[in-house]
Amino acid sequence: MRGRPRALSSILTQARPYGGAVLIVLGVALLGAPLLGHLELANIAMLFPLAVLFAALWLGRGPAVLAALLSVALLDFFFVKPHFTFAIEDLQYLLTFAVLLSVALIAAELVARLRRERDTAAARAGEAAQARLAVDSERLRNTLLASLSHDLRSPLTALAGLAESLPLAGPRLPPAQAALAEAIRREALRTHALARDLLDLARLQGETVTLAREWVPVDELVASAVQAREHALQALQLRMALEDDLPLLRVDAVLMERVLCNLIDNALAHTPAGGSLSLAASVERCAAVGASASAGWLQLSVCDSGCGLPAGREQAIFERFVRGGDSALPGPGHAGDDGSGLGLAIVRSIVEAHGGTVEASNREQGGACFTVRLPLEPQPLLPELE
Amino acid sequence: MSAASGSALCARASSRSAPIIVLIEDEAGIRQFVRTALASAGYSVFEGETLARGRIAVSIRRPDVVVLDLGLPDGDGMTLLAELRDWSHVPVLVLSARGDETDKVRALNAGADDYLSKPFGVAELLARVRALLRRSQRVAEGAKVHFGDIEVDLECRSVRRAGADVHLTPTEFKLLGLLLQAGGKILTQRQLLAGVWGPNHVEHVHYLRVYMAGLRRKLEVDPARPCHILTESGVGYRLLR
Repeated sequence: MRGRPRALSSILTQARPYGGAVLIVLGVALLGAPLLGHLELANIAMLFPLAVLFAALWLGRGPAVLAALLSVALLDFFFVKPHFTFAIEDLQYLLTFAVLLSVALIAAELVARLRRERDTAAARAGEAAQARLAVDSERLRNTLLASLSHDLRSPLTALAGLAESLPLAGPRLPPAQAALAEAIRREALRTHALARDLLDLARLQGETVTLAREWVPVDELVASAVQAREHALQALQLRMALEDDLPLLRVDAVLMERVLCNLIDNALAHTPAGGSLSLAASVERCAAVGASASAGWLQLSVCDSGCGLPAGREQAIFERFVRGGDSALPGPGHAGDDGSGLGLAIVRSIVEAHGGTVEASNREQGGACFTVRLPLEPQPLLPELE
Repeated sequence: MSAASGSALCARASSRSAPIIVLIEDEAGIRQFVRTALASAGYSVFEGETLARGRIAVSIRRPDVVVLDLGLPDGDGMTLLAELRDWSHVPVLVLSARGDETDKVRALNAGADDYLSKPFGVAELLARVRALLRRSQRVAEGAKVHFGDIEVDLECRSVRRAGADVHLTPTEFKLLGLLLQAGGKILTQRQLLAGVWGPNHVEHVHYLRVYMAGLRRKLEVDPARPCHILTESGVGYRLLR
């Protein structure tokens, strides 16, 4: 029952423009009626296309078509002899009707097309404005992050350096003061690392992460990460198991090195000195299915012999500010750059931006294992081997 | 001024007692600690906190090394670097934030000799400055170069590892030659690609990476933990002897 008034009102709304068209044509007819006898009928007939044009402009194509038909009908009925019948004396008026009808219909069609184009242009302009707004706000966000990053990191770089150069500035410091200067340096570096991680994470989790992808051999990625952590890694036994003939990866080399460094840092922070850390890389070929036969996954794992992950927290550790457990050890040797609680969140952001996945698990023999899987792409062409 | 006066500068530098360093950096704290560290190592340090002052300091002091921050309040440090390279070969050490790899590459391609990522420590700073001074005073080396257990004969184009011949392909040898000639300086991917494959191949970074991996397999004891052919991620390579 309640549906009916609504249906009725919707019919009324839809019918309104047609009523309008009828009114316009009637208006023109009323205007024309007193002129009959003073003006040629052909000139009076010229008033009707005007009515159709206005109907098309204001009301749309359907009402304009109705106005065109009605115009011909009224002209015939009231203006062409014999009056008040649809019969016509002079056959030349058939031509007048045909021309009137076609002019009116063409005008209606043209106006309707104009309206349509105006509407799509407006919509497109709206979309373009929205896209421009999105680009602008993303650019603003990145500029803001970059300047914030500079403003936070420069003084912290200075602070760490000043603390370190304190003993160089004058006579040798007493041990207690030297220790204080060293503590200031360490804290400044830690704050610097935290600011860096926070800002990097904000950048990585923005709408658009731009990856500087290039082809990189897996061995080189692993080697440069190990090289960057060489000093800290001396505290552990490092085992490397890289498959022979690993394919090239198309990744952002700087970010991917960051992934490996963060995973190594995480292992260092949870493994007592003398423990072991193993880095492995292998290829997981997809079952040969059609065109994707050459694709597959590269699996990179970083496993340690440390305290392992708290049960049930294997996913939560990738969230921001979540630490592996209460038993986090001070990193063996790699002081100053651990424990922002953001390292693994950054790992996940970078890996996911590359279309990969990262998982954590506990090893049966104790310790944790982090496995990164990255999609492989068809390999690039190389210059002919010599 | 011509390039000849640049080398005259080097000759003058080697006969002087305390090497002169011009430091161009806008952050007062960083300037202060870098000055303290360099002065404690016996260098004469002159400063400029803007591009304009840095330009004056470089032309008046005729430094042995320039330490240059890229983001200065009155302009890009790159401008000064480009101007400097018109008349001088003085080694330039660029200070740049970590993560700004494109800036580092731009600076190295424009003629900078090395870079330090902020935050950096005193030991790292002094090591880089010492290396730059050594490089600028280096005399022409003989045909034979040694590093680790490797001996490279640049004239005979032969390589021996622990006394045994190592076969390098012509491309690998060209790469090794470029890295050796650079004397420990980082070469950007673009510089290496242009040097080995020609200027039309500077986009083919994967050629470089694949050949570099081959070179490592032949020359490094443990290619997964290289000691000599080092990758500077996102920037390039350097050969450490």
